[in-house]
Amino acid sequence: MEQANTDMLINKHKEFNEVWGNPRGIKALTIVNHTTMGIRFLCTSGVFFLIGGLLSMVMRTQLALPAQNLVSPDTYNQLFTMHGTVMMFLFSVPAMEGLAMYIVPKMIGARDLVFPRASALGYFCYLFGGLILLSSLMFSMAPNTGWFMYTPLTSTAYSPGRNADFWLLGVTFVEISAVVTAIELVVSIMRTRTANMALQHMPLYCWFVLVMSLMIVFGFPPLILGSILLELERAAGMPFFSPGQGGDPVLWQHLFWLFGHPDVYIIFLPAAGIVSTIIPVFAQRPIVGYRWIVLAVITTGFISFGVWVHHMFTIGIPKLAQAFFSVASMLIAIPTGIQLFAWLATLLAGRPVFRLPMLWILGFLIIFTAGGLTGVMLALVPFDWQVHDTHFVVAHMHYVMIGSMLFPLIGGIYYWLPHFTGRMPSKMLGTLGFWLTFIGFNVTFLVMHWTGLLGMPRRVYTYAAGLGWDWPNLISSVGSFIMAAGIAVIILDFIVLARFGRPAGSNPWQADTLEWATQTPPNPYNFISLPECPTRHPLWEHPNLQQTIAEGKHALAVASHGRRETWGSDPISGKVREIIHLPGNSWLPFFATLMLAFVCITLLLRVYVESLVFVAILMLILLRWSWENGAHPKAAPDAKTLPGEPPLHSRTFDGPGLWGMAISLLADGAIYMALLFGWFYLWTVAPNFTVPSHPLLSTPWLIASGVLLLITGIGYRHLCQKIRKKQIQSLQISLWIIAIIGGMHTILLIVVFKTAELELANTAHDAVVAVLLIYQLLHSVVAVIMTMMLALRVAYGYIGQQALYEPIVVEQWWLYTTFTYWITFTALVLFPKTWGG
Amino acid sequence: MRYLSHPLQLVAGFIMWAIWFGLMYGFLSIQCIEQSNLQRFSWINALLLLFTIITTAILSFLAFTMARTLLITEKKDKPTRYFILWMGCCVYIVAAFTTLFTGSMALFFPPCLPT
Repeated sequence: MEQANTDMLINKHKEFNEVWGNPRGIKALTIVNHTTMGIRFLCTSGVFFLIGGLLSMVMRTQLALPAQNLVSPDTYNQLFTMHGTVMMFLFSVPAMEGLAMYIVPKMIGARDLVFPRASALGYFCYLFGGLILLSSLMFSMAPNTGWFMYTPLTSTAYSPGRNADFWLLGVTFVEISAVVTAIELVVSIMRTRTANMALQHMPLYCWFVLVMSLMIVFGFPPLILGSILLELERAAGMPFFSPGQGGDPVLWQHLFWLFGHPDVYIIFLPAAGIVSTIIPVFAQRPIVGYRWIVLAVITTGFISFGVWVHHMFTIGIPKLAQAFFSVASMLIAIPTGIQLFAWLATLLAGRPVFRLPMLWILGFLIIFTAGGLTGVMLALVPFDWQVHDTHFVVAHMHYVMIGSMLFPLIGGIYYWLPHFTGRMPSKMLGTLGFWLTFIGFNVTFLVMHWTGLLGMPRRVYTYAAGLGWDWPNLISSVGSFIMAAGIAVIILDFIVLARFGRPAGSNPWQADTLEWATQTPPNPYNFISLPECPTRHPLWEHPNLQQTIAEGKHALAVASHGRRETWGSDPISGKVREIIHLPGNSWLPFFATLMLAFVCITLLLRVYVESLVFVAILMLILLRWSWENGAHPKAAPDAKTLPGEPPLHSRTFDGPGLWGMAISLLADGAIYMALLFGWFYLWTVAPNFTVPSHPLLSTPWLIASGVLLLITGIGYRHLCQKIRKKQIQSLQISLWIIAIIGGMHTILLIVVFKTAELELANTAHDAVVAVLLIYQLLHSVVAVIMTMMLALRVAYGYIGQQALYEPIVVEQWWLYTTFTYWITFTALVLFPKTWGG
Repeated sequence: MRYLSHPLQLVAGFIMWAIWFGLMYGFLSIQCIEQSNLQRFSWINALLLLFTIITTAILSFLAFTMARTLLITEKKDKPTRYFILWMGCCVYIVAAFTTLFTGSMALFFPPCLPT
């Protein structure tokens, strides 16, 4: 009997592996599974971290002694720019997102992230973008104007080479990855939690990741827009940031720091999530103040968007405005303090066991608190003026970034290493690595505060002897080598562990969260059956959960239908609503990203015809990608589920795509808002912003185009109402009619654009008008293409009485396009009539 | 009163704070461009303070409404509703405090004093 059960279990796992398994060899490029993607993100970001670290070692060697000539001034410029860029864009955010990709589905009891092919797209965008950016080092064309790329230094007049272009295109490519991954994480956390995991049961790490992801959705678009505008200025001469033609360099600073300051918290929050996960496990008790921590995370997420101007205190903003941002910058320390006290209280109230991951957490508590304190100092305007652009700021930033991100990240990696590999780390090497890193870090950067207070500016490639900076610099350089030795020991530990590590067994730290209920290392499907989880501590309350899951005693324990399935649950209560079926391995994400990389490279080379060709191929790949959906033979042609189970999501009116579209439109809306901000900012602030004496755009044609769009939007909404009632007799013809009217609107908009006689390279006014029109045009074109494709899918039978989900997803796009069109009309036509037009 | 336990309450207070903050900064910036010589306390300070007080009052009222509902909600019977009410109430309180604290700067600085 027991043997029969074992055989049955083996067969069941075999069945799941056939559906979820990962191919080897070249086909490994088709893998979409979140476990593999998470590990790839982590490993790749680790390599970029080492490269960024090496760049910093060259800088510290150069600065160790006065008047050294180890590197030239220009090389030094490239070194500090690339160090900052690599660490911020290629290491910090991707590493945190990679860990979240790996952990979150397991923690919430799901089998994968909700858009697995988007995971792969995100990874390849990150990899190719990073490689393009780093390749600039080999061509000695690396960006050399500082990691925040201030204009006018980055304008063509002062940076005529391709250096800045590498940054603008490469970083934008990487940011696409970050936004795609963030959207996926938000939807996954909201919609794929296992049965009955209500909001108040969600592991704290998931709250942190949720807020981080939403911050990326709102925070990255301003920089994406800024990078596009600056690249347009450099490549096409559109003068958004050139004061002589009505632009303003300060606009770049606003767009950059609207991203830049939230980015600090985007990096910190998931790291704090790691801390909030690890401390209760080793304190052997639930965290103190769960709700207070959630409140603190949400507060931090919002207030971090209200402090960006504290990076611009020296540019001449009125004092009252400075005071607003100064106060907001001080206020943000309060939610961080709440978290800190909750962690300390948990340690005090528990029975802490100081294992290896805890060392890093203690290191974090010390360093981050110190970094936070200097942060409050810098929030004070007079102090900020004194130390602006000195090594004090560099030291503060490293205390915050390394303390708040690197230490918890390494602590987290040590904590989850048994999960990744099934083996335990070496206590001796791990401890040695920690102490070398901790001591080295403090020797480097504690002393650097002093160097800054002594007046040493940042970004100087050398200094004269006798200014009082000799010893502090030498000590910092020695410290940096000690820290590098610490990192080397950690890498050695990882290598040794992979080969000789002691087997970890299941749940080696006696943790409470669901990720430890998988096998270690995990199967590609995580859980063979999906348990209920109406608690924050499933493994403490049900210690045998791993066993019952592996025995298939919970839900969705069948894979013979060939579908990859996970629960689709209510975002609030966690009650199961439908079965989400996920797409499998595919070449599409790889080739789509490859085309995107070719677009990026051709833009760098400024061969625009070739760029357009690659864009066209990319569009075809993306259309093919979206074709394999719903009732398509490669998706879920057979919608049968077991008795008592809910329907497949593609057979309902609510599914992850609906949520994915909504969150994507939030990111899109953030780009649009940033663009509108730019328009109004230049209009009101830029001294030479000139408004043409006569209207450039044909108002009657714009109104006609808008009315057609309005008809389309209302028509589509009406159609969706009928679809929800399953009245679909004339669905295909209705979709074609909507596509045709939408097409007419688009043609009229093109006519408006063509007849506008915009002087794109002469005035910032015309350049912004052009970008707003192109933005609108792109949305209209995409809406028409999507509607035509839906009509075709109806014809093919992929959309029909049983599968009516897809048109509902597109409804949001039409409404968004209509809404933004009329706002654009107001901004371009009505606003100038009332304000100085 | 189902809207009180709608998940949007988790962020509604801060959305109001963000709108207030954006309008304050935008209004101040525009006024300082148009009246760059305005280096003493003026009607701009008064308007900013009035806007701050109104926003704080609205946020406080919403916090009070949430708190009242929270007190009559049984945590054991409706844990999710209780959680959202608690969070929403705290978010309104924090947003009200942040608004008042930040806006009170208009008491101390003339609006357009250059740096």
